[in-house]
Amino acid sequence: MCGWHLDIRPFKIVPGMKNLFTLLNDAFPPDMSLFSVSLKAVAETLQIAYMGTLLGLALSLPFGILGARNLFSKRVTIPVRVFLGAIRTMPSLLWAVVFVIMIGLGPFAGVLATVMYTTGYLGKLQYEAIEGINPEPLEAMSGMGASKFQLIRFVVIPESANHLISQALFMFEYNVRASTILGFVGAGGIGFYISAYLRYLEYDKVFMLILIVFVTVLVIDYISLKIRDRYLMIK
Amino acid sequence: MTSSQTQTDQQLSTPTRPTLVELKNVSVSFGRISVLKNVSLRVSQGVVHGIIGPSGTGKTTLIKIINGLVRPDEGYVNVLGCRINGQKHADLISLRHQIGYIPQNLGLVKILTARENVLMGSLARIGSLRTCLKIFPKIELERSDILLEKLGLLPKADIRVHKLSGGEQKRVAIARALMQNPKILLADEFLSDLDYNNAERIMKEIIKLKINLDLTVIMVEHNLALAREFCNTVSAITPEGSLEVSDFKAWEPKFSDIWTF
Ligand SMILES: Nc1ncnc2c1ncn2[C@@H]1O[C@H](COP(=O)(O)OP(=O)(O)OP(=O)(O)O)[C@@H](O)[C@H]1O
Ligand SMILES: [Mg+2]
Repeated sequence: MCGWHLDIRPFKIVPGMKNLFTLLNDAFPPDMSLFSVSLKAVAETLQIAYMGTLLGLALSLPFGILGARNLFSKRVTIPVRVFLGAIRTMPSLLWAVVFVIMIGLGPFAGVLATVMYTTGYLGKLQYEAIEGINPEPLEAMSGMGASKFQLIRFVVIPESANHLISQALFMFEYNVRASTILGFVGAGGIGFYISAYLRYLEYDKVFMLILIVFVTVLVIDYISLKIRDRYLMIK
Repeated sequence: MTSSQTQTDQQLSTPTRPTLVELKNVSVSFGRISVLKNVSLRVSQGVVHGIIGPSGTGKTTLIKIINGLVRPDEGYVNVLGCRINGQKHADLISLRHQIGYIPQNLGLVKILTARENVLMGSLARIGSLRTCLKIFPKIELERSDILLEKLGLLPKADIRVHKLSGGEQKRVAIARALMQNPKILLADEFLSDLDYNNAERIMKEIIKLKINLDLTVIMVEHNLALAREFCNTVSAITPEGSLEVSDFKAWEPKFSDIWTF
């Protein structure tokens, strides 16, 4: 029933393989003349991911704090969680469509789309990390008359800093991958070229672009891993 | 007991000293489990008051009632002339600023240094902007240095707390509570798992400070020998209620089967 609905017919893969070989044949060798263009485009993608993550982090932190049930009452946390959940339901690609319609084509729409999804997703990770901190210093400090603001500054942020930084790094890795396709809807970056050359069936150019994306993602993941190892103390 | 101590005991028990903490018939239960039943307590200014009792009777809960972390189901609680009973949050905060607190689990922020933890005792006197930027006034920095030095922590002041030994962490918590410049010090088993010499040294230091600062100490103590030596007045908490322990000598054999000496 379900298989019928999704048109699942495994034997279709066999002729499909033939198509794949034709495509690979066309794609190989990758078009090296596109090298500098793809570097420029991937740089734009990285900028979108970087700015989107940074602004999203700045925006999500207040929500992440307000959503933590060990700090605020249900009257505060529930609306915050609902809000974060709502903006999280749309992946960044759909947000990109919204912003392209609102403010027009270009990387700015891509940045805003990334900010939205990052806020929704990071905010959730943050309130969960904050709820996981050791309750003892929290209780000790409130027993000594610390204000909520002081609790956040001197207990919550230091105690959860490792998690917050690690989550932001993870989000950046994710956003690098996600923003490679933002260009498909005109929101800037390398995705624009990929979709254009796909449309003209110039697979050798597409292959070059994908190769660059592949290497970039590997490099970013590697750097982020190194940062984690070097600076984040695992307790 | 030395004769000079007996003398101070007599001075301290004179009725002219104001009562700082008073509990009358306080009861607490968590869900269906009744923890404290009919507990009454009166602590006058300047004394060291001990709270003893078997594990799980609610000594920690009693300490938390005094600084308002636990709200009793029944009974009368008056701390520093303030009736603790559903009062405004702001009032509770200003009351807590006057009560030094050493929790049983210490509650230190382990990722911060010893000095930073001690400085947290001064937060009551620090504005929001300074809080935000983590800049402490010079006078507070000097005060923290004095306390760190008194407790033998100055060489370790800039080490993160999670790298300190258990005894050192304990001293950080003590310094943080004294940094509050409190009128009352609540200390929940802060001498346990220190060896006797260290416990005695710290207690002597606190008693010295107490005389300088006119501090009132309420301490939970498992070790009855220490309680007998350092406390002017003692309350015992039992599952049935509380009782003033006036005469240790008469009292000791009666409870020796429950409490360790
Ligand atoms: N927040 C809470 N919720 C539910 N039960 C609690 C809570 N706090 C304390 N209790 C229970 O109340 C009882 C008394 O706890 P409390 O920590 O006050 O004992 P204590 O006399 O300090 O014991 P110890 O000497 O072992 O430290 C325990 O059985 C504990 O499980
Ligand atoms: Mg206890």
